[in-house]
Amino acid sequence: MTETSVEKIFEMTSSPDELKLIRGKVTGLLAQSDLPQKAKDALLVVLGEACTNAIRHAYGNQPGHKIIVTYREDGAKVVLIIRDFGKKIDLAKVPKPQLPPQKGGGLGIYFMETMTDKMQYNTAHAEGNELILTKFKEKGAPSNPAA
Amino acid sequence: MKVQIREVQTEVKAALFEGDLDFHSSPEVRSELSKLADSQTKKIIIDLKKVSYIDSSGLATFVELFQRMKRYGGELVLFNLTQGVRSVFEIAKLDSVFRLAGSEQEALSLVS
Repeated sequence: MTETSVEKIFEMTSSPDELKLIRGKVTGLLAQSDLPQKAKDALLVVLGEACTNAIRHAYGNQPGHKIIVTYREDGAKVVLIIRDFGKKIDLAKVPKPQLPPQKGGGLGIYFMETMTDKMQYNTAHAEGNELILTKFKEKGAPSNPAA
Repeated sequence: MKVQIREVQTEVKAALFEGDLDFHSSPEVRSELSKLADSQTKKIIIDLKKVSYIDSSGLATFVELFQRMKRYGGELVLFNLTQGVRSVFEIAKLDSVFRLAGSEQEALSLVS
């Protein structure tokens, strides 16, 4: 049940108008998945947050830089991997948001932590960032180790 | 993102949003909502039935509008939220801050 059954790799650039396009591609794959609808909705939100972080923080809102999104699904889980090649972001230094928020912004990482079962940050790359976001198909699967 | 704004009653404006509310579209939405706040529109109801996706940037536009309206004593109601959009409000605990309604009629009754 853990063999990889689907793996697709998409490339986008750091332009906000490409966010909808990448969500559309992942929506197409999720349509074939047996994840519950709520989990599919959550994955689309965290995909958007991760790509937006890459655009805003890794690339400083400069368009034209590469972002690679990998969609991987097996019998147990769906994994999204978002890779950029910009400035390294230290997630540990991002302050926790006040809830409910009193001002706009600051919720992106909180959403990624809350709406997935596991959020991992791969620090092994010499340049850029890699976020690995996992949603398990069954309750009782390992929960977010980032917590 | 399409935004249509109409006056539904005296001092009440209704905004209909259509499309995804994300980091790309939020500046346009913020601009439209700012115009309403600039003119100190007393009561605003926002129809989200045609918004199937919202992210933290989209939420931020509503939080900013809410804070501005609070300063001049305005009232804001969001209505017809799709399940996906409502979930995002709930995770951010904003469902306890905003007044959320199931229909335009209910939204109007909340600001009357």
